[in-house]
Amino acid sequence: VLIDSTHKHWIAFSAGAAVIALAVWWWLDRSTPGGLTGGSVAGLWYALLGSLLMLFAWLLSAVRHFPKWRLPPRKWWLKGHIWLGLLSGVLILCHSSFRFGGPLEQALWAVFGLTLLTGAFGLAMQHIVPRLLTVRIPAEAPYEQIPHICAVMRRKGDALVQKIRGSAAAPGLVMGSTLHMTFFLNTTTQLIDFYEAQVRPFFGDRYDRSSPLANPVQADAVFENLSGLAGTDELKELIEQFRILCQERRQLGEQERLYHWLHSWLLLHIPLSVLLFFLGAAHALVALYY
Amino acid sequence: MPSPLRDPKSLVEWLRLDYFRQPRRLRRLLRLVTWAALLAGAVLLALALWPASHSLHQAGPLSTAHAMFRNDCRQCHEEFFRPVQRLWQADGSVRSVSDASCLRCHDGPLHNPLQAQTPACVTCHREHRGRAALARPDDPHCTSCHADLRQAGGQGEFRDVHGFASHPEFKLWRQGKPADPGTVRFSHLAHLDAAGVRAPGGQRVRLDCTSCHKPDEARRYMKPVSYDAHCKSCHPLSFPVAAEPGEGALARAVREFSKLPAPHREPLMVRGVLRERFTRFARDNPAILSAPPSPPPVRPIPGRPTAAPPADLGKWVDYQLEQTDRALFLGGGGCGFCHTRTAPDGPDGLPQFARSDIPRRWFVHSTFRHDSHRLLRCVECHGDVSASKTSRDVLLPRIESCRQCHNPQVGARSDCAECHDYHDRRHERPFDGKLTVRDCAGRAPR
Repeated sequence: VLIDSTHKHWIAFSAGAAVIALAVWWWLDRSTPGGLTGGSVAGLWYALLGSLLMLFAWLLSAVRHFPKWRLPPRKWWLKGHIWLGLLSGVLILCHSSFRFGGPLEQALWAVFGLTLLTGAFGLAMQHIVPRLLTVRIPAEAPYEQIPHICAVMRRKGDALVQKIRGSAAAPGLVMGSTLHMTFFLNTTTQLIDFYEAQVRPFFGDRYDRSSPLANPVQADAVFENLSGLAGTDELKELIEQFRILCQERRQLGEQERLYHWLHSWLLLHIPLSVLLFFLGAAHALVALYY
Repeated sequence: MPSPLRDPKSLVEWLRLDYFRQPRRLRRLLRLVTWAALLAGAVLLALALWPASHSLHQAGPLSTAHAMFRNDCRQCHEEFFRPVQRLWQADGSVRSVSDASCLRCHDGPLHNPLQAQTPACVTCHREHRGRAALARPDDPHCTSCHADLRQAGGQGEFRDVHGFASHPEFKLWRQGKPADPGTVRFSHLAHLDAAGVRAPGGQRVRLDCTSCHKPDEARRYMKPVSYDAHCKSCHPLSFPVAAEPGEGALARAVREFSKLPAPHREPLMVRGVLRERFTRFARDNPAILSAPPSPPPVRPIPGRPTAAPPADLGKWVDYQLEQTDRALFLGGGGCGFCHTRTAPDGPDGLPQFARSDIPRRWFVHSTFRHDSHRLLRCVECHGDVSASKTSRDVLLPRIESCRQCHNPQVGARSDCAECHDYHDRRHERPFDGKLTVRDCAGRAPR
């Protein structure tokens, strides 16, 4: 989700509500001897409102998992998830009167803080990474297709190698001289070895960042050398195709890397939200019991 | 630049059209991690609610005084779901811990009979705040009423207070220079002479404040200055034995007898003790009754008898007592040296002296601890003691003296509870409470 002008109402509402909540807390805290506590009537109201906002944020997953429910559009919910989630942090701060309580509350604070932090990080990533993807990856493929595309690349590479082998063994191949013939055979052998040792592993499902082909400068140098060795235009054409395939894999690798930055924060954010739900429930249960 | 390989014509070759049916790696991983978090959450929830781990879910550590109940919440929280009731009724007076729970162990005597309202115990004493003293509530608890006592429905002699910075002058000093109600004549100037005072042996002894002012067992207040402990050695209530004989064993006995001073009690009791002593002395030393009189003085002092003491025991004792009355009660020395004689004399013919009336405590509405201030010279708070000539001088500090250190800038505490007790401790019940050791420690984990 991108923060754009469509968020202004959410921002205005959340900021206004946060300012009011803080002002009311300040006044109540000043006028209550010993300061406001989480267990006071006002403190409990802050807790209730904060919890409701958190519940709203949690329900985002319900929108995804129960699309048949007549819920507001996901985009609307996403915006609310961001801004009301942040507002819930302010309300919970007011509820706690900026204290961190006992072990359970401290754990709750840590999880809540990390949830907000990972959410903010994810939001930042969603602003930065898509632009990087557009700039750096001209030919973006669906992320889930990348292993399949790699398999296709391997097949294409294998076919090219087969073609080279075929050329070398073709009975009708006309060579200028025996020396030329020997040179051609040496080049094809080197090319096939290079393919087996470097190119084919580079087309693997797991992107190998340590490969020289992952570096565009090194890769270009390698292919320039190979082109220089190639004795015929046919081989040069094949080498050029390898270069294009490697370039494609590099882009897919970069796309994977950016994709991980774009989405991996969810691996923290969602489990932390789940943990927050449990710890929050435990805290509410105990606090309301006593 | 689009991919040179994946042109629209060959797209079918490059892409799996049913890829959305394939399991997604990230989603699978996410599901796994979420389940792990669910499991961890459930374990944490169970741990937090486990009966033996109350300290995990407590809002903060208990104060030292209540630490023994940390695993037995019911000692204080007798009713449950009170916060729900509080929220539902929007009533802040619904407390999680009732006064009855506190009063099982504590007295909590009334603050003041004239107070307009009595807050619940937990209003001021907030638990689960760690080791902070539970008995030291924040100032706003006090100033919520004392900032404007009339508006708070209170009445009485106290002025409005907003904090120590605006605390009114101590009551002692409000009406100008106060006078010590004590009637004992005393000069600090004479006793704190830099050259020292003359001791009974003739040597000079230099006195300081601690020579006479000693702290009590709690090292909180100064014990009253006592004649026997502090004055007697230099100011003994000696009396002469009239018509003492010359030399010999009897003379030595008379000298020994004279060394024992009169007791520091009321005149009637002093006379009784001396009568008993003279009688016993005369019985133990019958020679005194027949001893030759000492030669009459060349220039007799008017009013002093010049006749020899009578030989009859009873009359001899009466004669001696007449001399001691003159020495102890009637002259400028003896009792009258320090005590003020009041008129008229008592029915027994003896003079009456005013009660000393030295206040045991001056600031009765506050508490103080001399021990905490022992790093200071006494005169830092008690003024120019060595210039005081009379006991009418009050040598107690004014509030400004306290404020020099007790302010937020310097750092010495200046909250109300630093000097004032809320509860009237005089009404606390005696010992012998209601709990047993098992009640207190029985449920603690072994």
